[in-house]
Parts: sequence; structure tokens; C-alpha cells
Amino acid sequence: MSSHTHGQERWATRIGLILAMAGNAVGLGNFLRFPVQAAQNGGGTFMIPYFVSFLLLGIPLMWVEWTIGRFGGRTGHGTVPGMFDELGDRKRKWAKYLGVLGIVMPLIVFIYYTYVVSWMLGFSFFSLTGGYFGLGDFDQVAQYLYSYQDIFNTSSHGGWVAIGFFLATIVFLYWVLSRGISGGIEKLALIGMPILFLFAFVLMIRVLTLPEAVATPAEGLNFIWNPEWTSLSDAKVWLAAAGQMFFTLSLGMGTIHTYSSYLTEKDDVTLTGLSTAATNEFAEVVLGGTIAIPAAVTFFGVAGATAIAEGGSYDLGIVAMGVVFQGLPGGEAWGQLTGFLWFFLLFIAGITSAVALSSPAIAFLQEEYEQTRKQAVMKVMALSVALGTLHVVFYHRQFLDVWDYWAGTFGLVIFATVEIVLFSYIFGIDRGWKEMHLGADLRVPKIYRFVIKWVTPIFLFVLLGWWLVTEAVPTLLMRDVEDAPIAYDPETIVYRWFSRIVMLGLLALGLYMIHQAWARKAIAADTNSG
Amino acid sequence: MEGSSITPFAWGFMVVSMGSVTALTAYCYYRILIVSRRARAAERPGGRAGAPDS
Repeated sequence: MSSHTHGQERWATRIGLILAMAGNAVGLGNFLRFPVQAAQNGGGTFMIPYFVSFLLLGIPLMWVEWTIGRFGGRTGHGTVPGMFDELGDRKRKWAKYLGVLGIVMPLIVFIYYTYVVSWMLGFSFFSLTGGYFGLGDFDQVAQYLYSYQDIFNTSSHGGWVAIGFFLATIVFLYWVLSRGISGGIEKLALIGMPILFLFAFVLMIRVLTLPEAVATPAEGLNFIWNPEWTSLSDAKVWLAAAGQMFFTLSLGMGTIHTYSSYLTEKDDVTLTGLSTAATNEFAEVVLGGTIAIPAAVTFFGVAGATAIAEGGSYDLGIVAMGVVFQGLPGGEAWGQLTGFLWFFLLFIAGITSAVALSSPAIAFLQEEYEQTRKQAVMKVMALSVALGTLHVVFYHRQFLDVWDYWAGTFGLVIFATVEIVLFSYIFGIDRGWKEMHLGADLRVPKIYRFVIKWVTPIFLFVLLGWWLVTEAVPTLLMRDVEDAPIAYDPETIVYRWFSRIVMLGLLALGLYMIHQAWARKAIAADTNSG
Repeated sequence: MEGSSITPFAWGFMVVSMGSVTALTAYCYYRILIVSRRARAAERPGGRAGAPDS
């Protein structure tokens, strides 16, 4: 057991833990990604593979990650390399190196995600000050957003604006994270999550009571929920549903492991884990599905909203909603206030997830390199500012898209596949099942023992194989750029490779730091025994 | 809501989906409430924990 500072930190309350875990899961994906995915993939039919994925991937992986995390914490580890080492009974030297995924991937996602979250802070401010009010149509608001995102496009904003909000977000994160688990992260969740749900309920009621414009809110609900049966046999719909499940529950990232490592063996993981998954699903299906798309359909009609949804989450969540807020009945002040509620809701959802994403790297520095919490937080934030600046400067060169694809989408499935195999076959399903039920307040149905051992791994391998063939290999070879219907800028490929090399550099750094940490432990063990 | 604006199928999917996640969430928090009450009762002087919750 390492002499770690990790073991001294604990969650203060159960509700604080649940809200922090829910805060980790409830993010931009619930309110922006989910409605777009549902609308693009067959509407109501999407919910069938979505719920199948929830039952066969989401819930079992959630229990597995909580169990691995608590087991790791009990054996002195708050991050995945140490946990994987323990799952292999410290006999399999390779296991800890696979754990690099549980530190570097959340860090990579943290860096670009924080930049996106800072946009929400920016647009909260622009809503209150009426910055985009008066830009009546979609194209004008789109230009306003693009000028913000691209610091070289100064048509609406100076380049410093995006940098300023990014740094303000980083400073806020530093303040929360440096206050520790119960003093910072738990308090943020206890304050932020009720505000998030309150804002979401207010917005949901506002959207559903909108008067008819181009269409009605009911037609918006119909747009999301009306089933297209033919899409059920389309493998892409199943992939989209499974991908959404990873993204929304923050699975395959290493964040759940770190958060649950602050539990003791007397603390339940089965009921608490299920509660956080259910809370996330409530936020996504009930609230997330009832705000952006119905509002967009009401103001742009079904055809307009379809085109907007095809354009992606930001066109829907920022641009289209920016137009909606300007057209709300009751005057500009009401529109500004509603706009603030929406963007600040997204900011809270994002910031609670960002806090979780940074936690594995911070815990790793604390435990394996004996840094104080403040030192570890400072180093992670400094690295994030340095690499986040690349996203700010090269956003228009798809720097962020490359990281989002490899770490935030594909990487999650790879990590989840590794962990379920380690848990079920190296650690052993018998030990794993017993470990899961230590201190349990809910007995997991026995069918899930079979699901965790067979169904989830097979599901993941099929998913991984399909993704490799249909998306990952073509993307790796840049075929998606070269075969694009519009002419591409040859420099895009250069910047994409640059983006990949930076990511690979982080991965190499992570592997080196794991190697060094274990080498130091071996020397310390030799000295003590000698 | 007008009958023509949302089809019965869409309405059904929405109600079943939203109802399922709401019921699951309510069930989880109900169980947590019960467990917490039992734990508090057990902590009181002379208190006795209930049967294992399984």
C-alpha cells in the first residue's frame, strides 16, 4: 500500500456523493448531445437501443467502475493504474500500464471540455448583457458564435474574449478543486445540482407552454419521439445509442473510479451507483429531451430544426437557442433572463463534469508523486492552460474535434473493454461479485452476474470491432477529410496530425510517469526490507 | 395538446420512456431514504437495525 494522502479524504455525506457522481455524469451531453442524437437516429426508435444499452452496458459498467474504485481506494489507490495493478494481484506488470487510459484520457477530455464549458459562461454573460440580442436570424447568431470560437475572426468579438472566459473557468476550477473532496467538489455538487435541476424544470415548463410560432412545442416532442421503424435495423443507430450511453454516464473515463475510491468498504456502491445512473437518465430523457429540440421546432419548424440538428449540438444549443430567446413573448428582458438560465444551466452541468475529469490526474500526482493537493491542482491546471491554449488558437483547424473523437468517443469504449475483461476474467467474477456486495444496500439481480461476465464484454467487443472497421480506421487514414464533399484545406491534415501527436505525447508522458512511480515504490520497498 | 401535433406512437414512447426513468429514480431515492432511516434508528441509544435490506 502506498503512503498516500488519498486515504485521508472522504465524502462527508451520502447525498453529497450521489450529487457529485450525478454532477460527473450530467453534463453538456444530457442537454445538447442527447436530443440531437435522438433526432438524427430515428426519434422514438432510438430509445429502444438506448435503453438496451442502458441495461446491458450502462448499469453493469457503472457497478463495475464503482466496485473497482472502492476496491482500489481500500488498497491505497485513487487512480486506475494502481487499481488495475491490484485487480491483477500485482503479478501482472502490464496491468498498471493499461491504467494510463484512466488518467490521460480524462485529462485530454478535461482540457478541451473546459474550453467548451467556458463558452457557456461566455454566453451566460452575453445573454444577461444582451450581446447577441438584435441579431434576429440564425446566420447572424451563427456568425456571432463563430467569431467567439475563432479568435482570428474579430467580426463580433476580440480574440481576448474567448481566452478571458477560458481563463476565468480555469481559475474557478482551481478554486473548487484545491478545496478538496468534501470542501470543494462535494459543496459544488450540493449547491450546483439543485440549481441545475431547478433551471431545467423552469426552462422545460417555459418551452412546453410556448405559443405556436412556426410550429407548436408538441410538434417538437413529436419530432424527437415519433418512431421510424426502419432505423431499428440500422447498425449506426445502435452505435449511436451505445456511444451516447458512454458519454452521458461518463463511463470508461476513470472519473467514477477516482470518486468511489474515497469510499470505505462499509459504504454501499450498488444502490448509490444505480441512483446516480437513474438521476442522469432523468436529467437526460425527461429534461434534456424537452428543452432544445421542442424550442427549435417551435421557432424553425420541423424542416428547419432537422437542418439545425444535422449541424450538430452547438448549432442547436447555442445558435438556435440564441434566436429562440430573442423571439420569446414578454420582451427582451425576459428573453435575456431565459437565455441566462439556459447557458448557466449548461455551465453548471459542464463544470461539475469538468471537476470530475480533472480528478484522476490530481489524485495520481498526490499519491504517486507525493504532491499536496494544491500543488497537484496547480500542475494540472497549468498543463490545461498550456494545452487548452492550443484549442483556443487552433479551434478552426479541428484541433478539438480530433481530441474529442479519439479520447472522448473511441477511447471510452477501449477503456471500458479493458476494465470489464480485467474485472470479470483476471480479478474473477466470483471475487468481483463479492466485492460489489460489500456493504450493499441493494442486492443486484443475479442475472447481472451473467451479464457482466458475458453479455457486456461481447457487446463491447462487437461495438469496438464495428467502430474500428466503419469509423476509426477511415478516420485514422484521413479518408473522412479526403472524401469530404467540399474541397478541404491541405493544412487541415497537418493540423490534425499535430493534434494527434500532442495527444500521443500526453499518453507517452503518462506511461513514463507510471513507470517511474512504480520504480520508486520498488526502491522504497527494497530500502524498507533491507 | 392537439391530437394532430403528436402521434399516438410518439406520445406512447415518450410517456413510457420518461415514466420508466422517473420510476427508477424515485425507487432509488425511496430505497436510500429507507436505508438512511434504518441507519439513524440503529444509531440511537437502544436502537436496533432492521433486517438486512436485500
